[in-house]
Amino acid sequence: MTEPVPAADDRTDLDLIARWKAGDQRAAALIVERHAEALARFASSVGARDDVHEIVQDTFVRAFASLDSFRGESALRTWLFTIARRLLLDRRRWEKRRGEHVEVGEQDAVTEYDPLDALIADETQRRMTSALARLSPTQREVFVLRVSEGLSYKEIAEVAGTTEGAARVHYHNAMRAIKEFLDD
Amino acid sequence: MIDCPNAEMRDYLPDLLHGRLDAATAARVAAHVAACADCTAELEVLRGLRAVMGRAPAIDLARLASAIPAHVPIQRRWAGWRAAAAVVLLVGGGASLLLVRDAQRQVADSARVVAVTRRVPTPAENDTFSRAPVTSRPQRPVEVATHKVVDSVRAPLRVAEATPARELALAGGSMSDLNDRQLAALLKAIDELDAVPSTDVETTSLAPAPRRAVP
Repeated sequence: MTEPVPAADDRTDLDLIARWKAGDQRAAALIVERHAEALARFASSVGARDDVHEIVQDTFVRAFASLDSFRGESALRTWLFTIARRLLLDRRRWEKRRGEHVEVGEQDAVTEYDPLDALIADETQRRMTSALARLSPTQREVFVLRVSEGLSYKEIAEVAGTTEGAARVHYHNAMRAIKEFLDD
Repeated sequence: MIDCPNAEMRDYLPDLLHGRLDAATAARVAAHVAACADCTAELEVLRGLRAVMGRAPAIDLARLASAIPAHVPIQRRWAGWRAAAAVVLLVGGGASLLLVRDAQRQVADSARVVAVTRRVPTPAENDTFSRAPVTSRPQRPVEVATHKVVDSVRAPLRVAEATPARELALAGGSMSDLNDRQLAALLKAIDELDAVPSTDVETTSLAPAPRRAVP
């Protein structure tokens, strides 16, 4: 299979990192601007609720603290997703220990984004939200990274700490489950 | 909805959606989608799901950017680490010194006297140059009892983990006894610390290991 064309943005990210290291703080703001919404979408889609902003902020703080060790072998966004994913997993573990964790389930599908639900008039979109909520956490994670963020299987494998083959299987299983739900 | 039997084309659909295909591949996939009702339906589902997943709480970009500190060059960062390490070493070494001296005082106060045996060589063995005839019957060495003060602290006290400080503590020395090699080894170990972003809450206990009770 032909690998997707790498984004020209990768070069820009490396340039911005070099500028930040040279003392240009505006470069940091540009990096945040380029990647913050993608991180917020990812965090929301895999279950973060009121702490989306905190997750995104923590991700950037940790990433910038370790940028000296970032060699650019993967895209910056992939690296950021890896950090965000670990933060989300740690939070879930911590919430479970405290008995606060609530699995994202179908009952949450409609009310998960309360301020936005009022805007959802399309029944198809409602059903799609329900379909996503029925996926397993791993399937949802892979599906979000593939469909919402457009990551390749190789990049997804890097973020999720798995293999390309496993990422592909999770994606197609998720797609099958969604189609079956929508067909019902 | 039925899955298109062409797995390769189905794999390309999210890439087509995100414009991540090169021109030739994009044209080939688009042509296939135009001719395949299953892939057309699947691509439509993917568009809808992408729109649903694209909703997220608003993010305050300015607030995020203001939380990013300015870059600190590694040399200046490690200079801070070295200063901190030197302080820790000083405090740890001093504390170890106090612990060792305290333990030695306790041993002196409550030392046990135990009997140990010491082999005493035979006169023949002692008198290597003697011309006295050796008896035909070998003499057994005489064992006598001597008295020896046993150090009740069998194992060295566990002090600061840094080897130079521990060596100092065992030797009962002071900070100024650290030689250049030992100090360089400690600073090298600090330099080699791997700065990987950690997301786990780390708990570090700096309390010294508890002293063993003197039996």
